[in-house]
Amino acid sequence: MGVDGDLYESLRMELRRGSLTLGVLARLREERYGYTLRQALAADGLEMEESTLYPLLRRLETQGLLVSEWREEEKRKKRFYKLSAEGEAMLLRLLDEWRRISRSLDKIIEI
Amino acid sequence: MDLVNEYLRSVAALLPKAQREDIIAELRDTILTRIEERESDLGRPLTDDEVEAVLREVGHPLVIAARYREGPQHVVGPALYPYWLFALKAAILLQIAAAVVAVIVRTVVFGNFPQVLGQAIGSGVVGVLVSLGAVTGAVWILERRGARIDYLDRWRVRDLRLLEIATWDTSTLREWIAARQAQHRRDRPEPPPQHPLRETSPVARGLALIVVGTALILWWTGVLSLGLDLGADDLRRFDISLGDLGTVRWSAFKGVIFWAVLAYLVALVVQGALLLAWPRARRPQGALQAARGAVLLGFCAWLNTASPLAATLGLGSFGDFTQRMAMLAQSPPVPLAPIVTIFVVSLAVSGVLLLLRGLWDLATGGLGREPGRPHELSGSAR
Repeated sequence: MGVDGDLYESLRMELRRGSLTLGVLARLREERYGYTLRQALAADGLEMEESTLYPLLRRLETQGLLVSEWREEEKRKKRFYKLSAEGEAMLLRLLDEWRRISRSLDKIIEI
Repeated sequence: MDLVNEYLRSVAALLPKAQREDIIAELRDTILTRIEERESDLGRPLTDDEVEAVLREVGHPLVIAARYREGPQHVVGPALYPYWLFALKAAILLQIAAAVVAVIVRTVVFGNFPQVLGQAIGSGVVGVLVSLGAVTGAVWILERRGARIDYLDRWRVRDLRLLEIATWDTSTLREWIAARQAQHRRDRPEPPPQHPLRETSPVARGLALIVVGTALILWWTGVLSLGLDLGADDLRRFDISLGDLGTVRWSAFKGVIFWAVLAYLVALVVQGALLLAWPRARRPQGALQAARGAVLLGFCAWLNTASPLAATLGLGSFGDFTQRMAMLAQSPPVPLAPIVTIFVVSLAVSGVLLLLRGLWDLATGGLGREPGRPHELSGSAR
């Protein structure tokens, strides 16, 4: 295992990186805060480390694809994220590309 | 709770001030939610060890803080890495070349080879480390400033000849030696092996001109001291006396020739650059070389007849020259005049050679030059 496992891990990370962004954007069509977002993604089978998710959310917000707001819920202030109009447009374009890649790969590996 | 606060404090210390509060508030909420979830699973408050375990799951403060930092998380990224490696290789090769030159010059001047070698290795190691630092620092800034170097985007194939210098490595040398040995062993006519340093390559010549020219400019303008600035006392130590040349006011003399020499050295560098840019433009190169030869000759003539040195140096005939050389045979201290004479005469000779070679290239387009590089010959014959 050892080296092979490491190689698999790093290739898997590479493969997942872009798809995670896609998953996060799609899930935030509905407003959520970090914790519930992570739970929702996990329920869909997209497990994500907190240390990956939160910086990603922040980056997407800086890029204008998300908007956020601090609000009190369950006795504590929480930061809620939602897809912006710009983010929605970007998501649609990315989904197109995603489907195109998926179709191509399906054709190549002949499922 | 204390553990969580302590953890958050160390993360906060590593975050940029502007985002600190925001990030920490969100992180605190995440951690507390996690702990509460675990507590409701267990039906009791967590122990300190269990809280510690949760925090360890979240990650080391250094890693967490780094994730939030903007900008690249590396020193040299994959895009710039090949350029970084090339610059490093070139810098190290130049360092080695400079060290070798320094060892030779200092051994000649000061003797004591072991000490000189020791110094050279010492300064060579420092030089390589400084190069590593400088090159890495430059690339580090490029990665972060997002600055684009024009060359990286708009490179042209003909610029790529510059890279030839870094293709030289030990395997080239080994091939060369192997080819030599094979030739000796079989004693069969074979094509002559290429020189390992490719000294016939216009790129190598161009780079050499630039390096030597730059070094001389730095020395002439006093930026670079080689530790070789000999005064009259040092000369006496070598059993050389200034003789009549002692009356020359050297600083005034340097003042007279300063700009002329500087211009000549700049011309050297320019020629090197032209050689890199248009390696096959033999005729313009020849013209420039001939001009340099003529300038050298003119300079020697001036030194001989009109300069402040003329009174001592002036050579009227070949007889004067042999007489001057005879001074070298005197018992020490040897006067400086014949040594300077040899220098000026060899300068004049190299001027003549440059002039002739330049004129030849100008007239024929470099016919018969560059042995062993047939494609270069066919290129210049066009």
